[in-house]
Amino acid sequence: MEADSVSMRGQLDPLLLAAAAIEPVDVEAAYVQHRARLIGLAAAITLDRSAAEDIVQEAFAGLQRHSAHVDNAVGYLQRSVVNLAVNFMRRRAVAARHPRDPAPIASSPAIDETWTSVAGLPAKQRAVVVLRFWEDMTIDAIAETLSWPAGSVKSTLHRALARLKEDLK
Amino acid sequence: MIDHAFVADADPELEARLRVALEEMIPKLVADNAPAHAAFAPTAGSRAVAPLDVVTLAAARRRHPRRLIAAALTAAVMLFGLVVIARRAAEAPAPHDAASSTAAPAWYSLIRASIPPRFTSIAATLATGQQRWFVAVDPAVGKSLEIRVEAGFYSTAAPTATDSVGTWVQTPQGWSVRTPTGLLVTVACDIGARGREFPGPPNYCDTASTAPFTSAEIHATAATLATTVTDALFATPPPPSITPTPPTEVASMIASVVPGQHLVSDIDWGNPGTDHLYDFAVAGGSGAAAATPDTSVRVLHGLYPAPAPTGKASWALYGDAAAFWVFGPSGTAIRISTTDPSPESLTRLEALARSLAGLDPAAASDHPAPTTLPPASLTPVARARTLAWEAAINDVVTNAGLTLAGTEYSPGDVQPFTGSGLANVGAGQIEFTVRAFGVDEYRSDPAWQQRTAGANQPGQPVAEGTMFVTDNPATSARQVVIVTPSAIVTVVAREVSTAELPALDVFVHAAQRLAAAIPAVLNPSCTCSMSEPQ
Repeated sequence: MEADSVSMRGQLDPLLLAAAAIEPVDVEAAYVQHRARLIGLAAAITLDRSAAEDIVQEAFAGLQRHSAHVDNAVGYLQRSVVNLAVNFMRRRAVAARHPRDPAPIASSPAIDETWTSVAGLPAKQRAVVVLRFWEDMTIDAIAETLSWPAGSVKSTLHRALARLKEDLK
Repeated sequence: MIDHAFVADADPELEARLRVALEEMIPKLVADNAPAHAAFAPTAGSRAVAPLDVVTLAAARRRHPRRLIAAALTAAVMLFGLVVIARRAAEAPAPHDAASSTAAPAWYSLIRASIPPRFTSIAATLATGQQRWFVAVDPAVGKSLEIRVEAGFYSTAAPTATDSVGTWVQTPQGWSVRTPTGLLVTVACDIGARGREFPGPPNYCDTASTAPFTSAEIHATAATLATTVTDALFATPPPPSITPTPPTEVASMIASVVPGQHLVSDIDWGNPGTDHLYDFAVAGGSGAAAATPDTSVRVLHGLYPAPAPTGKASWALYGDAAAFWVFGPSGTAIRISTTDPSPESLTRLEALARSLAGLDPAAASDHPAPTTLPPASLTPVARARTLAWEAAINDVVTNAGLTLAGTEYSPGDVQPFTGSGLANVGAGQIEFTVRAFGVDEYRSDPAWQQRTAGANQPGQPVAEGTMFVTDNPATSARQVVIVTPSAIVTVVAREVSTAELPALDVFVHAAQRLAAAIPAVLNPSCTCSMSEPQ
């Protein structure tokens, strides 16, 4: 249901964007509207629902703190979630092999195979893949959201797709 | 080049396949797992404020109350190398006279009365209608407490305990408690070095040899705050707006000293606002960037009363990390933590901190960091228990012919000890767990022991207690539980294939060996020695 209020797969409705540019962010409304989708984004990067919830909560805490200065709540939250999730994965990479949440059961072998390959990507590559193909964001939108140069987004996505292609051929 | 490669690699079929897979699997990934714990969910009796269900345990990225420790060898190296000192300044800095003469903020007395006396200087870092965040500093040794009082908030983490104060969650750095009236009080103490996995006792403040601040003390502080803070706190005015050094300038100064800087949190730091805190983080990465140390820089304004400007920093050195505060004039304070505690690094970072604080950076060179770290003069029980547990679980797993992949535990300084270790076997794992009994929990009654073990069959006596075996090799269901007077020990196969399942004797021997080691773990000061099971 939350996704219904977020048009175009997670992109904030243009009317909401316009409103956000001239009015303080309504954090509570943003929480209601976007939390579930953001948890999906975080979970896709961390493969850990518990961590995803914490990450999204932390992102909202940051939004709460800076709400007076944020003119694009969704962009802020997405950037926070990606940064926090990638950082979480980096931290976990240096820890012991902590058992991940079990992979969900796919409806077909092809989807299972695809998801397994996506889950095997480095966190940053997976983040870009998810933003591109789940959130349906353009390269420029990803670059803007993550504050990365567009070239970095392209090269990261290029490497990810090349790896996926190799895995799935 | 990149553009061309990107365009050339466009693969509509692959992209379509990705979209379908992500669309199906991400919702399942979120939904397939256990629902969030409801223990902290707002209740009917909650305080009547606008609900904003945001968890603010920023430091508690992992929900699990137990800590994840690195693999045994790594952990052993880190832990045995965890040498701690806190170098006091020649004289403990007294509150700065000029700042002391200014009027105390309205919130100061409310918080000050509820925290230990040594944390003399406090800054408000966030003030909204529902949130009040503070940093309290002990200028003498550079320790600091993060204090958060929030109305209408809750934690989704699994509760550690419930008592008359409220429902508690222990985090790697401290405690949070949600009161029956709907307040969420969080107190944490750590050095804030990102990228560390808290390999020592449950928070860094436990480990400083000269000024320990234990998990139990943090618990007590949170309890005091939870029972004394009232609505009056939320009625106090927020800190006044300030005009600190522009963040871009601060970022530029940091980047000049610590290349590769990027912001991990507080990414909206570019707006000064009225909160008096900016966090910068320079994080190491993977691959070639793995050697990059993690460094966090915190710029804090409005510390009251302002400590005297730092003559030389009070370092807290942890062997593989370090942290310190530098106090500037008028309540400005700079906190730097890093996973590169080399003398060169600390001297360079202290100079940076002094620059950020408006002090003479050259003075950092006058007080070079020590090149050798003296041994800790104080060994908290939790630390000793940590070492005993790691030695025990490593011994047990190794003796079973396996390799310890990781271990988690809670040190048991407040709640009874729990610990677990994992060894990978093919695609599955063997899990070794210990849960110490609480006071008066153990009973010799066979029926109680069987229930506690979750066994279908009665147990059999062994030297360490009573052993319960569940074994069905056809389905890889193999588990050995031993109930001892002090703890319950379990060794169980998780998703191990029948072909790779170790023999039942391995489980029995491991459980007995772990059970035999438990007294030394629970009471590390005793002379208990691990004995071979009979």
